[in-house]
Amino acid sequence: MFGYLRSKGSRGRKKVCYTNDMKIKIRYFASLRDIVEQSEEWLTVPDNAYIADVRTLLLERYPRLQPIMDRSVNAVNHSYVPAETELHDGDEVVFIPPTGGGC
Amino acid sequence: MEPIIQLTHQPLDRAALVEAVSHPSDGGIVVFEGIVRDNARGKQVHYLEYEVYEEMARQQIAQIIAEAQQRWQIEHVAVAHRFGRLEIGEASVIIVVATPHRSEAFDACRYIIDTLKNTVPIWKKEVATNGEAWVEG
Repeated sequence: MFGYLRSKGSRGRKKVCYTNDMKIKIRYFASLRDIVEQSEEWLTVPDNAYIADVRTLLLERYPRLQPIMDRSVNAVNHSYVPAETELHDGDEVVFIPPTGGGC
Repeated sequence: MEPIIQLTHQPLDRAALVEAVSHPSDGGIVVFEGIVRDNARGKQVHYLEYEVYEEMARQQIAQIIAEAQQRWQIEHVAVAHRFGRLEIGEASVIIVVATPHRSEAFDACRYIIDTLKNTVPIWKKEVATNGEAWVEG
């Protein structure tokens, strides 16, 4: 994985190759929670992972999520975001299936 | 006035919400109350189970109210949504809008309930005679 690292004694940023990981929190609601049978879990993903990478990872782990994930949108830290959003350590990620509030 | 946003397990209190939103400068109050009904798509419904992503729902509702306030110059608004198990005849959602004149109150209330259904992370599970299912839309 490529990324930028600020090294000691150097003023600029240099491109390096590293394999740091970070942790993100996934919360599951409604039909997704029923399928994975838990309401949250922490996932270890590479630094600079995108929402799209997390989708791929979850579908490998829980193939039965496929149909509902196709109809779900992404939220990070309580806001709707596009799939090309980059994640940061400690982010809370939720895939939101079609909502049905009201009456 | 800060808008009132209530997400609760407890039965909703319409009178208290109307009271909280009423203001001497407002000549009209519109209340929308969503009720659990006993049938859906030809099925007999036993009860509903609402689930909410609370932190995000609160934020989304605040955003919808802010949009409505900007569009109709309304000041006094309350949105309450109940979650957990709800029986037939109970209120799942109550929206109260008070404005100087009636037309803004009707329009803003309609806008808030329609937008809420689309964007606020709240889900409804229908428990009916022939099984249970999460309802979309």
